[in-house]
Parts: sequence; structure tokens; C-alpha cells
Amino acid sequence: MSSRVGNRGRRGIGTVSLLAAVLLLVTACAGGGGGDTAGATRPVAHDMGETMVPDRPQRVVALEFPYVDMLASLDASPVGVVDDGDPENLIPQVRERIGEWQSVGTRAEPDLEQIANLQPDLIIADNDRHAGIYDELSAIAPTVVFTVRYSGYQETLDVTRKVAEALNRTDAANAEIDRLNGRLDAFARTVPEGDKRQTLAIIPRERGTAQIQGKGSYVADVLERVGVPYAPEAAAFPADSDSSSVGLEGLAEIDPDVLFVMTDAETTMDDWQGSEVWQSLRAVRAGDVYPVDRALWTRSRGLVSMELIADEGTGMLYGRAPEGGGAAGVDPGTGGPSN
Amino acid sequence: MLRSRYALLLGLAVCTAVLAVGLVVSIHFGASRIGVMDVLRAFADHDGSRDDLIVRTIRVPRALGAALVGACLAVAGAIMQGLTRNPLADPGILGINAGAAFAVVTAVFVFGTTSLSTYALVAFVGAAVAATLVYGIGSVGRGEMGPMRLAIVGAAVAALLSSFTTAMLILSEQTLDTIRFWLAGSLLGRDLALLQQISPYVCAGLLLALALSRRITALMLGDDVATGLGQRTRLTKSLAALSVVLLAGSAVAVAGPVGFIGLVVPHAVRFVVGLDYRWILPYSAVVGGIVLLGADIVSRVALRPQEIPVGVTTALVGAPFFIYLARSRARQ
Amino acid sequence: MGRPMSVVSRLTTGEATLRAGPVSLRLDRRATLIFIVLCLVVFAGVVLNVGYGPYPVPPPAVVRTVLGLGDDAGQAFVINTLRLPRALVAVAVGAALAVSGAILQGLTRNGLAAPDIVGVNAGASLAAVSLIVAVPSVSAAYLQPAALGGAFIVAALLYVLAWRRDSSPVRLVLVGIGLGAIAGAGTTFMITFGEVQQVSLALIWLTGSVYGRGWDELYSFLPWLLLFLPPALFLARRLNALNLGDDVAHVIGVPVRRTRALLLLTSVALAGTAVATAGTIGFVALMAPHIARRMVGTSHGSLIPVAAVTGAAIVVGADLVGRAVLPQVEIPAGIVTAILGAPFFIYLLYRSRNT
Repeated sequence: MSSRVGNRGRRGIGTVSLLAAVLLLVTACAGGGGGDTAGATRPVAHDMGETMVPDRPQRVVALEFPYVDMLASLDASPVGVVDDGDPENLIPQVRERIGEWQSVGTRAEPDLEQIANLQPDLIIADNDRHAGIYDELSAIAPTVVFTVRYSGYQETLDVTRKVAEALNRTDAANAEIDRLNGRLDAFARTVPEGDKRQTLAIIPRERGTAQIQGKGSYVADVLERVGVPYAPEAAAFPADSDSSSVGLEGLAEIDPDVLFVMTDAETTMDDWQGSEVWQSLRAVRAGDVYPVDRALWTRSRGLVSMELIADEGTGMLYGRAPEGGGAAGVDPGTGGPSN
Repeated sequence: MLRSRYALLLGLAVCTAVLAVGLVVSIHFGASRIGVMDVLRAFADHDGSRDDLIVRTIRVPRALGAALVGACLAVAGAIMQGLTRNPLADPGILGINAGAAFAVVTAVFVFGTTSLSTYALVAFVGAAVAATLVYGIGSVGRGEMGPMRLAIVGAAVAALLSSFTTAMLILSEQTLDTIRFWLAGSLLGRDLALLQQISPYVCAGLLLALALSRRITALMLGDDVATGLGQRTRLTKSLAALSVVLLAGSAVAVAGPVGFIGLVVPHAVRFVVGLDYRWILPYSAVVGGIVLLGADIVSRVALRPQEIPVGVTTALVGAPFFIYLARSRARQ
Repeated sequence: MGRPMSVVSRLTTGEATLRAGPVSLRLDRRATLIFIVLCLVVFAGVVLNVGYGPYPVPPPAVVRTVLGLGDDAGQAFVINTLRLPRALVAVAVGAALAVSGAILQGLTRNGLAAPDIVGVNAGASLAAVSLIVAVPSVSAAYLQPAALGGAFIVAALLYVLAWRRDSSPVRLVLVGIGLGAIAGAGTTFMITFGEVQQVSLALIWLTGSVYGRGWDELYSFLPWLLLFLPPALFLARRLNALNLGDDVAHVIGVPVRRTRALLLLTSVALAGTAVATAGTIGFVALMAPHIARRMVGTSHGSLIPVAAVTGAAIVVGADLVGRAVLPQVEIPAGIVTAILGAPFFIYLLYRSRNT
């Protein structure tokens, strides 16, 4: 094989050595991206190891909705956010709190050049989505990677703490978590003693088909945290898995007392209304079917949305009017704007 | 092979009986356990109980839907095979499914529709356009439409359309999440209203097909023979193509893209009843119904409590048969 | 391939096109000229591709920056870290697919054969999609061997089912379509049951995209390319002999079966690893050899290198177009090639009278 390399024509050798030179230069330059932030750094542990992060990151880019929510709850304003091309994908309460941001593409394919142009000093990426471009992201700025899939109440607090650590705002996070827990406990006190109605949250797919949010799913976990009983039969389905699609018949089999139906522009329950089996469901007959916003209930997954879900859920169930939209976190006294 | 008229009639009756048993079995299986007797009782008197409602509004429409879609696909496949003199013709192979999928995803992506009845309409149109396209491209150029040509045009058009489909799905994760089960072909959640909506097209398609069966048999022998028998071949072909679009379009409108039924069933039928389309078509309809009912039952039972999309099941059974056909044909 | 060699192979990055060096000496002057012109086209394509983006960089500056002579650190970063490896992956993948297609078309004496038509890509896809969807935690490093494995399984089935005794091209393609349909059903199953974020990734991958491909991906692909391109070029003449018919080839002294198996192996390996690197960028393996044949004729000695460069040019161009069409989102290169390729395919069909 090597003899053949030696036998190359003159042109071949020329090109190869030119290319080699080019490549050496390129690889030499490749390492030294935008990482030259002035000032002290500290190590932050995350899913892909440990990364040196600036002492107080100022320009943060967040690549999945929950991280944006978590940043909002810490009153940090990311400079760049993936919004899948539509700002409405972020819940209004989060949008309000983070102020101006620049869209850097979709969650599946963030625009690396836009991110680079923002000259961030910290990128928060998601293990499920961005493991494949971790090297490129790291070349742009120090990148920390966390996991939000399969998260519940406790995991969300944990990841929020990790994000806070990367931002060097652990104290703010702890204060915010304490405040949130206080609020959640307050919501829990609104659950009446004798009320044993079993709730279930579903995402409608198409007529007669729904994705069950099983026990252990994010919504189930949050609702249970505030003392709302969650349908035990739903535990038969894999937790938080997209594969837990059932027909109306399967839903009738579970037949919960209360249904939270997560809808958005593309998922509505219009098609179900006419079905007799739907009408025979316990929740439907009792008038306990509550349409809720899918972006808020399943996609945002941070402290801001968690508080809103608990508020909205208990409010709908126990007759207390849900508090106004901006309620979450604007509580005076805790975690006011810090910049 | 069945020769006499009586044997053929008897066979058809037996198949119909099997279909009836298949319907009952299909109605018996479901998420909740309902005994066979309860199933039968549900028909006898409507007591308004949950089981009764489930049987009448969910399971019966689903079983009927499966039988109907299977019949449509098998008859459409049989006509296509006769029309193109191509044993490998099948609505799925010919890009009809890809056309329907493309149309439905476009509707969801652009207009945000999620109603299954809108899907049905859109899928129908998409299927018709794709079929016309493939058939049109396949028949231009020199010589007769060889088996290769139509299959390959279909594959190319399907590849093109599905790359557009994928492009839209990549742009919107929500659309992807909404539509992916439909895209795999499924009979879950199909109700009577939907079946009623498409039944006129199915009836028209089936009647047209049966009316043409004698002419299609003649066409199989070659255009010259058909012309010699006094046929206006062009008219016959156009009408037959129309019935294919009606049938395959209805099928994809109800169940989404389900492949290979239209390929496998007519071959199996031909093996038993010979080459006369007056027998091939009714047999195909009944056997197609049986096969899709069976595939649907398997899809529901295999991974309980989850469902496999029925399109996956039929492909896993049908594709090996396709390979078998391709091999045996090329050897001839 | 020993240690020192692998260093060399890392340095010859991506320019699959230039690996044709030793063979090009044997080419006739016209083919050599076309080859050189196409190399320049690829070079121009890479420069344009690398220059295009939210921060347009004029071609001279691109060249300067790549050579390390630029003085703008930000520009150097964007070009050398983000854009250049991606463009080079496009070049390498395009070349690999094109050579794979050229070999397969030559082997089957069928102009419509291509790894994506006969199900080889579908097999690679099924393996990779299963990995992405079912085992999301698994490292991307396993994607390559898995996709290759999938491609080989389909190829083996193809060989056993359609080819062992006699090599009817029609049957090969039809059996391939059937195998592709089976693998496709498996992929659909995965897509239906996976978590939506994995499925989304899998779909992008399925369509074929060089998004986010960096030096790592390039370096893990290059050894495969360097391992299998030389045999392809080396076996090109035997392929010519095979095309004269098995008997003639036998008389000339070509070991028919072994050569055929080797060529199939090479073709599948190139397609499989290309798919593993950038997903199923469709129709390149079909188009590039045809275009090349138009320019240099059917002798594989010149056809294969010219097809390689053509394929490289197509993919680099498709990636550029895909990034330029919509402002915020990029269209995967595979969709652009499908939009070009499907009509081309139908045109080919239209021209071929006796299929």
C-alpha cells in the first residue's frame, strides 16, 4: 500500500503535501475559538464531563425550552434561545421574564453560526439532542450538557441547581426553590381532604387516540407533588413515553375522574366530542375535562412552568380561580431582577 | 385451481364466511376484555352500557374499516396488475401512499388541520394526483409499460414526495408528533362517520371494477385482442384507472398508507381462481378484507397494550412475498 | 494499513477526488482534462460553500483563512471550525456515494441500480435509526459500524437472494426494492414508537444532512474512504472486463466471482460508511455516474474518478443550496439532491427503452 503512495504522479504528491500543510494549519487553528474569555473560570460538572466556565457568565445561550424556563426562574436573560422558529413556543411568562433574545434556530438543529456570532460565554445544551454537536458547541464557548427527558419534580429542581451552578447563582436558585416549595405547599393545602378524584393528563393525537401521561411522567409528578391524586391505572403505561398511545377504548378502560387534555394549535379534542364512548367517560359526564396548554404543561419543564401548572391544575380542580398569568416568580421579596 | 362455476361460488361463500368470523374475532379483541357473547349481545339489544358502546362505536367500525380497506386495496391492486400487465403493481409500490402522506402532512403543516375527516379528503386528493403522475410518467416514452418501469417510476416519485414530507416534518416537531402514527398506516380510532364519508367512493369504485371485469380479462390478453373483441381499450383503461384511484384513494383516506395488500392478495387469488377477472375481483375483495383484518388483529395483540401500526405489519409480511415474486419472475 | 499510513490518510483529508492520482496517469487526455476541470469545480464549490453563511466571506478571504493567513480570528473560527469540515464531509460523502453507485451500475449492467434503490441505504438507515431511537444514550461513535452492518446485511441478502446463481439485473433491482421496503417498515416502526426528539434527529439523519459535521466525523470517515477507494480504482479495469460478459471475462483471466464479490463489498462499504456519516443523501449514487458517463464514456478507469468528483460537486452544491434557500432553517442536502435526482431518474427511465 505504501509503495503505491510512493508511486504517485508528481501532481499527486504536490496536492497531497499542499493539503497536508493546509490541514495542519487548520487543525492548529481549530482549537482556539471564542473561548478566550478574560477573567477567572471554574469547573462545572455536567453530563459530558467537566467544563471550565467563566466565573459569572453574562452571555448565555440555551438550546432547549426547559433551560430557558430555568434561566427565567433565576432571572438570567439568555442572549440566544432556540425557539423552533416561533417565539410562541416559549410560554409567555418565560418570555416576559427573559426579555429580548435572539433566535438561534431549532432545537434539533441549532444554528451554530448564529450562536458563534452572539459570542456567548456559556452554552446550555441537551444531552438527548445535542450530544452529536457537543464538540462544535464547545469550540464556540464553554458548553454544559444536561438531561431533561424523563424529568419529574425532583429532577427539575436538580437540573435547575446545576444550571444555577454553571451561572454561579446557586444562592438565587436555592432561594427560588424554597419559594417555589412554599407555593407548592400552599397549593397542596387547597386540596380538599375527602376529594379522592383520580386525575389523568393526556395529549390527543387524532380522533380517538391519545398519548397517556403515565405515572412518573412530568405532569403526573408535579400534580402529585401538590397532593393531586393521579390515576393509578395509568401506571401500566411506560412513564412519559410517546409510545403510550391508546384509543378511546383504552382511555375508557382507565376512565379517570378528571382529565387534563393538553392541546395546542395542532392537537385539539374537537374530533372526540361526538363520540358516545367519550361522552360516557366519567370525567366527561362530571364536567371535569380541562383543556390545558401543551407548551406550558409538557414542553417548558422549569420552575416557572411548574408553579403555573400546580396553580392552574389545583385551581381548575378545586374551584379556586387560577392566579393571573404573571404570577409566577414576580412575588416581591424573592429573587428580584439581579442585574 | 378451481374450475367449475359451482366450486368457484362455493369457494367465495367459504371465504365470505371466514371474513365474517374474522370480523367477530376482530371485534372481540381490544383494550378492555369483552366476551364473545357480550359482543353478540351488543348487536341484539343496545343496553347503553360501556361495553355496548365500545363494541358498537369503536370495534365494529374498526373491523368494518379493516375489511373495507383490505377489499379496496386488493381490488385496486388486481386491476392495476391487469391494466399494466405487471404482476408487481400495487398502490403502495406505485407511489399512491407517498402522495397521500405528502398531502396530509402538507395539510397539517400548513393549515394545522388534525381532523381525521379532513385527513381523509386530503389523502384522497394526494393519492389521486400521485397515481396520475406515476401512471402518466410510466406510460410516456417508448414501448410498453414494463414491470420494471412502473415500479421504478413509483419508487422515484415516492422518494421525491417522501423527501418533501420529511422536510416538513423536520421543520416542525409538533407536526411530526401529531402525524407519525397516521403515517405508518393504522386503523385505530376510525369511526362510522368516517366510513360513511368514504363509502360512496368505495361503492362506486367496486361497482365500476366489477362492471369492467370482463373487459379487463380481455385486456390482459393484449390490446390487440381486446380491440379485436370490439372493445374501446382507451375507454376501458381510463375507467379502470378511475376505479383504482377511487379504491386506493379511499383506502389510504381511511387507514393511511398500508402497503402490499394490493400486491399479495391478487396473486394468491389468481393461484386459486385463474385469470378470469370476473372471479379475481370478488375473491380479491373478500380475501383482501380477511388479510387486513388479520393483520390488524396481529398489530393489536403482538405488543399489548401498545399497537403496532398495521402498515408495518403488512409490509413485514408483504415485502418478502414481493421478493419471492421478483425472484420467481426473473427466473422465467 | 499500518500506522504511518493512517497518518497520511488523515492528512489527505476529504479530497477523495485527488486520490485518483495514480489512476489518472492512465487516463486519456480528454478524461484527464475533464477530471481536472471537475476538481476545480469542486474546489470552487467548497470555497463558495465555505464562504456562504450569515457572515459571507469573499472567496479570496476564504482561501486566505483556510491557509491560516487571515487576520480575523472570528472569521477564522467560523470557517475553520464550522464550515470547512462540513464542506469537506460533503465532498467525501459525495465521492463515496458516486463511486459506490458507479460500481453497482457497472456490476449489474443496469443504469438504474444505485445503493439507495436496491435497499443498501435502507438497511444502513434501519440500523442507524434503531440506534438513535432505541438507544439514545449510545455514543455517536457506534453509528458508523451499525450503519455499515445494516448495509452489509442487506447486501448479503441481496447477494444470496438475487445474485448467487445468475445475475439478472432486473431481479437484483426488484429484490432490492423489496428488501428496502422491509427495512423501511422497520424504520417506520422505530419512528412511530420513539421519543419525538430522537425521532426528529433520526428524520434529519434519514434525509441526509451534513449539518454539524466537524473534523471528528471527517476523520472517522476518511479511513474508510481511503481503504475502499483504491480497490475501486484498481478493480475498475476488471469491471470493464466483467461488462463484456462473464465468459469473456473468464477467458481474459479475470476471476469473475471473486472480483464481483470484492466490487460488491467495496460498493456497499462506501455507501454504508457514507450513509453512516451524513445520512441517506439520495440519488447522488445514481446521478453522478450517469453524468460522468456522459462526459467520459463507459470505461471504468476514467469513469470512477470522474464520477467521484461529480458526486462531490453535487453534494457540496446541494448543501450550499439547502442553506441558502430559507433564511432561518436549513434544508438538508438530501432533500435538495432528491429534488434534483427524482426527475433525473425519471428522465433516465424515459430514455431507456427496454426496461
